Amino acid sequence: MKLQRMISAKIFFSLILLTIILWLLSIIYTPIIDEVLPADPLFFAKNLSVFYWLSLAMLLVLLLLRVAIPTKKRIYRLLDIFLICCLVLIIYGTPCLVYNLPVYVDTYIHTSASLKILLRGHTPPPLSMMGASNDPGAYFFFSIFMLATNLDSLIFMRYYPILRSGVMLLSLYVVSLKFASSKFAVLAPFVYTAFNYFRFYVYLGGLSHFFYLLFILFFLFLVERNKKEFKLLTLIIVSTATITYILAPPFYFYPHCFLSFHYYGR
Amino acid sequence: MKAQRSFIAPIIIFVVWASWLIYVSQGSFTYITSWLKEALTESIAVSLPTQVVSPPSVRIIPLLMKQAITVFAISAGILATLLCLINVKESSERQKALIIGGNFIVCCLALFASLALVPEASTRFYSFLLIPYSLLIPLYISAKQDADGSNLRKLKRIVTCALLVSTIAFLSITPIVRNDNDPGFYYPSSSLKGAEFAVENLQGTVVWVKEHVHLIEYMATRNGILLEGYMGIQRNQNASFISLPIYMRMLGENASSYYFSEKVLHDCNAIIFNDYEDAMMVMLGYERYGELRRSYEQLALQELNMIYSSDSVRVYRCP
Repeated sequence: MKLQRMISAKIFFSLILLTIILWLLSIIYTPIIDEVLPADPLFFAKNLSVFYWLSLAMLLVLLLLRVAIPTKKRIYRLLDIFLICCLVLIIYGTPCLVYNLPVYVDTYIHTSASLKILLRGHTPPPLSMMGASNDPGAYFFFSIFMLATNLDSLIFMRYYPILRSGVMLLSLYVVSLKFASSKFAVLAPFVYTAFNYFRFYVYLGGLSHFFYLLFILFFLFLVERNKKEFKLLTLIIVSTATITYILAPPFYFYPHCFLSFHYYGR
Repeated sequence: MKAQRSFIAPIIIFVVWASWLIYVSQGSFTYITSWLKEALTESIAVSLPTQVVSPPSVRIIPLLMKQAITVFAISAGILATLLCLINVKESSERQKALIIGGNFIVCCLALFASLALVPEASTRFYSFLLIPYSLLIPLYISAKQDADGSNLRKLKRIVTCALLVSTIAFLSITPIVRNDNDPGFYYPSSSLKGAEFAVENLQGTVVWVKEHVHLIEYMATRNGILLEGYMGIQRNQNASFISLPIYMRMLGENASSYYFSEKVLHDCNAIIFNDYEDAMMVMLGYERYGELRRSYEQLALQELNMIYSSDSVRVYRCP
């Protein structure tokens, strides 16, 4: 049984390696896009090389095998992390590398607002109706990130989706481990990616999603353990999320009521 | 006494929200009301000449797919929440289902409310909804079942299979339904060079054909020039970069009759034409936009001096 598990783990890792090789080939063989795009919704899909579809098919087969075949818990986790990395590269990394410049027009407006904070040294006044005055948390984060890493803004915009999706999907997996069994926790990042038809770009909501996810985790800890540290952390997360994205506060309403009733019930 | 103490955290959270909302409402209220007003009264569909507008056809397949994915996610999430709540064995799992399910339902309500009030924001609420949804599905699949419910067990097997199959199917079509394939969402490098030329060389009133002036704003900031304004208008002491629809509104003219007019060519100091939005307009259903824009540029070429040209951007200055 132990030998069988070892063999299955080895096969898994070989298949993951093969998936990454296929993905790298897809990047090499897909022509770089730097032109005015035609009015064709299938343009991006048609442009991709056959290796992309092979790597995606391989990833889906790996996911099914991972759910179906029993393995050790520790190996599960390692496999899951590799699977999530493959998912990030194939789904989120491919467009970043295939397009010559950042995609999506709003990327430019959010990045220029962040660069303006660096130029001015502060956020614009609230009456200027600029996004940076309503959601300063996110713009501060982007500007400080560019300042600290000394990244060119174009490079930051182009590769931000890989960083953002990597952090988001791994966090989703970690949070999912707290809610679901370790056998099925890996499904969370896959479900999120499959049902999400938006591209990740330099966008305020993206950061807020991360805080919302963390909040759900601390919310569970609060309900289960009711410790002071979790209360403080929850408070910090809610405050940060609120100044990061203007549409975030309604989503904290339910937990707020739930906690109030929960404590009142005690 | 104990109950009083436990209310401290929720009260602080509420105070933080309230004070923040009061602060942001200064600017946001004007923005939200103008946004609502624009959505209700003056969309680009009415600002363009009527012959430009035709029913959307090219984009219909990805739109239908996106709608199908949304409907599937919402209905599957609600079903999983209900099944989790009625069928889980352990109280800890029930509590987890209540936490995630409750968050999911609140996200659904926010989404439905936005569909009725501000449809443009619905996609933003949908992206929030996906967080509890993606936690709910593994919880539902891994939840231990009540031994008595054999019918529910069969139902769970069917729902689990449907969820796995749909996840794989929707993952396979991501290059089609994601925004990556939307034309107009990508500026080629020639457009960036054109925008850089504009911010470094132009003065006075500069009209940018179409909605946004994001590129101008970005290239200016990148080069250390501070432009102020919002979306369709960016200005400093030397130049005002204005999108054509905003310029029409500033003139106080009827936008639908003057959208592509000689008046604009004579009034402004320079005009910038770009090609990258043509395909986007066709996808949105304005199939004759490209043709009209090109004939308008032909007129500009006859009357104005072309001072810059790249693959996708041309700049004309008034004599």
